[in-house]
Amino acid sequence: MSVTFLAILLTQLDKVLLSRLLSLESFGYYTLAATVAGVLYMVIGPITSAFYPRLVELSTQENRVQSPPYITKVHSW
Amino acid sequence: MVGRYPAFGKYRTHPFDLRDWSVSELSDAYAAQLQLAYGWVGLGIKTNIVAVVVLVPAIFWFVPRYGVIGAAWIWVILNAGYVLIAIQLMHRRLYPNEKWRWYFADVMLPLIGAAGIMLLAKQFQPVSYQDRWSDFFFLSITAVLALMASAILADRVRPKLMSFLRQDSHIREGRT
Repeated sequence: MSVTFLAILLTQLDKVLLSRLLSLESFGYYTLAATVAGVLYMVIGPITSAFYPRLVELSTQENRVQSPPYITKVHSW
Repeated sequence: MVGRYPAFGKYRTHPFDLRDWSVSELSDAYAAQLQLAYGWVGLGIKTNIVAVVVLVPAIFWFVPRYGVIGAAWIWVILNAGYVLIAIQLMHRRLYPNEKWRWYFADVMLPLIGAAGIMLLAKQFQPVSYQDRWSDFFFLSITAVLALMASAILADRVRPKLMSFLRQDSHIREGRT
């Protein structure tokens, strides 16, 4: 909950402040660039969501020192 | 939150992007999920609090002096902080043995690939921005090439990519 709140604050606060500090034209470019860069979230979001249950499962089983549940272990496709 | 998804080749960076913060911000997702999977919420919260506390004064200081590019640089610095500092803190508790392997094989090599493509593209950059469409295609092709370069250099993605391509060629040649 607080994690989500902070993440939203962190990603949106800049736009709130910059909308006052920059000209409308500059702010437009900034927002466009932010949106384009944000497209990558659409790629990574589903992947991490899909992995999360497996990460939780592994976290109950293994110790925290050996190799982590990276892709090779997480996947069984 | 902190970290990067280890090997999906999204370390692409882009000298043309006003805000290439996404390079690590996105990738934070994996290490963030890793921490949450272990019931470890505190580090992420603390990291983000620090980030917000740095962000606000930084905007008020940088933007009047350097404009919108200054704002973009704040994100570069913040995300460098995530990767270089927060990840270190995470590995003190989780998988300390994996830290340097991760920095080298999962971050540095793919990053070098993407950065190399970007620097090359910069040499062939159109001189003037006359046509939005040609710029758009130029940037799109560059981004795809950079993504491919980092995927090829990521040692956990490359084998999957290769086996996928091999399967595909078998199908095309009518073999199974």
